[in-house]
Amino acid sequence: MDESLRTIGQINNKIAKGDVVVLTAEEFVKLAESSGLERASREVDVVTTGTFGAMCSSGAFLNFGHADPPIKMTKAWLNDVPVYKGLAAVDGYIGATAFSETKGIDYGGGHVIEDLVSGRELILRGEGYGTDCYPRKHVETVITIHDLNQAVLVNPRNAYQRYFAATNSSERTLYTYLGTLLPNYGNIGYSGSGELSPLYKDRDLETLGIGSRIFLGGGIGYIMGEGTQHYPAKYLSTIMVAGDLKKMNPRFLRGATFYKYGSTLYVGVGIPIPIVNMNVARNAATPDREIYTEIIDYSVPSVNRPILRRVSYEELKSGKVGLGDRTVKAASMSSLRMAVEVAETLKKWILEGVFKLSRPVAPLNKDVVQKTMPLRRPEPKVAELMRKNPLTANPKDSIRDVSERMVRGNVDHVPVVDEQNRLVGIVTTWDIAKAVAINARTLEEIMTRKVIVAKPQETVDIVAKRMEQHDITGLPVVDEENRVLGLITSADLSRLLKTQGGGVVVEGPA
Amino acid sequence: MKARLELRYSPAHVNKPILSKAILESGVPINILNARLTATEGIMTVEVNADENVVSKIIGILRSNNVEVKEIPRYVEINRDKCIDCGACTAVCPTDALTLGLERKLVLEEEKCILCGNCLKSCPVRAVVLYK
Repeated sequence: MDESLRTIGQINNKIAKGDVVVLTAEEFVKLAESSGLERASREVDVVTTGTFGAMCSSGAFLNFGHADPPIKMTKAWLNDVPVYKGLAAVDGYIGATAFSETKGIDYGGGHVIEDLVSGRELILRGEGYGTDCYPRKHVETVITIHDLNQAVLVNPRNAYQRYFAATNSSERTLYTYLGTLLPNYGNIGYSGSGELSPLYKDRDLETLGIGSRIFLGGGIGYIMGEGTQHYPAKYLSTIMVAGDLKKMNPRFLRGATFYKYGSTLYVGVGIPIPIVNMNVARNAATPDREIYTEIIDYSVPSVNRPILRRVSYEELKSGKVGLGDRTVKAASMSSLRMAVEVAETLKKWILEGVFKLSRPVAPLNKDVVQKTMPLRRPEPKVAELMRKNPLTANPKDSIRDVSERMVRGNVDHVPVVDEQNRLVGIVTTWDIAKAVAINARTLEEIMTRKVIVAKPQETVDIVAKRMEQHDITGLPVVDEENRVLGLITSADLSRLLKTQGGGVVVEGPA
Repeated sequence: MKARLELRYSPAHVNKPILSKAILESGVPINILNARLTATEGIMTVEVNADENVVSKIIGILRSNNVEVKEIPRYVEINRDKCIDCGACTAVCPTDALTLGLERKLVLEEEKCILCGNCLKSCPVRAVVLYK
């Protein structure tokens, strides 16, 4: 245990007297570099941190009060966004990623929360089945946050210690929670505030814990415990937080929509770190260049996406990151300018004596790991469904010959291969029609050379999604050496649905 | 002056080299920023860097060839009340018209903008307004 520099009680006394010394984490990093850590840790009592990012695991518990006659709402909507109603009659939870049944993801739970905090009017709609004590079955009214008995922001997972950076090796633009990722490593999306990051600045979780008072959404919040997916061993700690929404500020709670991904809520979170010993001081003084994350290829449809390289927040924040032999633009999805504002605001509160530090009731769990979902039901794989030994052809084959074989074999897709059976192209019945139109003679004149393929171990629904994305009906199945093993077509997929009784098909309303 | 024009071609004129004609007759290069073809018309956004009277001459040539011409006074705007300065738009901006500047605040250099529209989609808080 490091020797104590000061206690939280001593810091609070200094806050009360008005002579506490507070710096933001950025200022503390600079001071430690210019004056040395020893001196910085002696002079500074508290370091304030901040982050302002899209935090999907956010939402608010609301109590609407009882109507007369009363209703037990089993379903409810605020501005057409569904509110979770598996609770008592007029209690509900509005989640940040729920979205409007009329406007789609352009307006979601995050926007509802921003509108509530801004004092705007919202349309509440509710339905119930009617009971002796709750006779009403429908309600529709206009409310503001002032009409609610309670509005409590309760976020199961906020303020990731650090987060991955994303890029895209594929030839298709991807729309993700780290923003739009352009094809062929066109850009990098990242999140997190690096040397301002609340949880990274106390990365050994020494001073914060259950009950710590924090800045949350422009108001006061508390750490309830570890956040979901908390994984301290990998410096991916998270916190679960709560605070009175009625006292928060819409500047620090912003509804948002990630294009073709979904709606969410930007949350401002700031944590004061009492500099109680040298280890805490050292961690709080960690600069961006010593905070690392990994750049991950998001084009791989797996939770085990390949790591391309390690990168520091200093390099990410510079906006230009080296990837292979090129320089790629990096942009943050969280706002650094707002993160600074959070840390500055918290600093001001402490200096003005309106915010005091609290001693945690219990530390956060440090042993927990993040697990993945077990898949214990059989899922159909490409290898089981593909046609083995499909009809193939060579680039020099004549159109006439191949079209005859296609008719005989009753197939629409012919993978084109070289002497070693390696895929070099694909020809479909449409290409044959094109060949007739332009009077082509051999396959290589008309074949598609950029072929979308499937791998034998991939699951069928991933391949179905790929067909949909590229608007195609058949994919050659290849091994690691690009040798053709089989062919999978939309006809094979519909065959599967028939034998499964349509299990994967989402039926529209009757 | 730098003028930005929106040109609309009806199907009857879409296959004529009208823009080339305007370039040859005015002797001024015209930069095509953006071009789309729909079932009912062709729409192009172009930029001309020339004196005001030359720009008027070009507009005259285009109009006399049945092209609808509209001057675009201001093309992109950032709603500062909405913008959170995250910078998501900066990575998808192909010409660096959008960058993070002093104190990591978003800076827009309109003259660099080619009206691609990438920033609109990338903005999580819908703070970018594009006129085209």
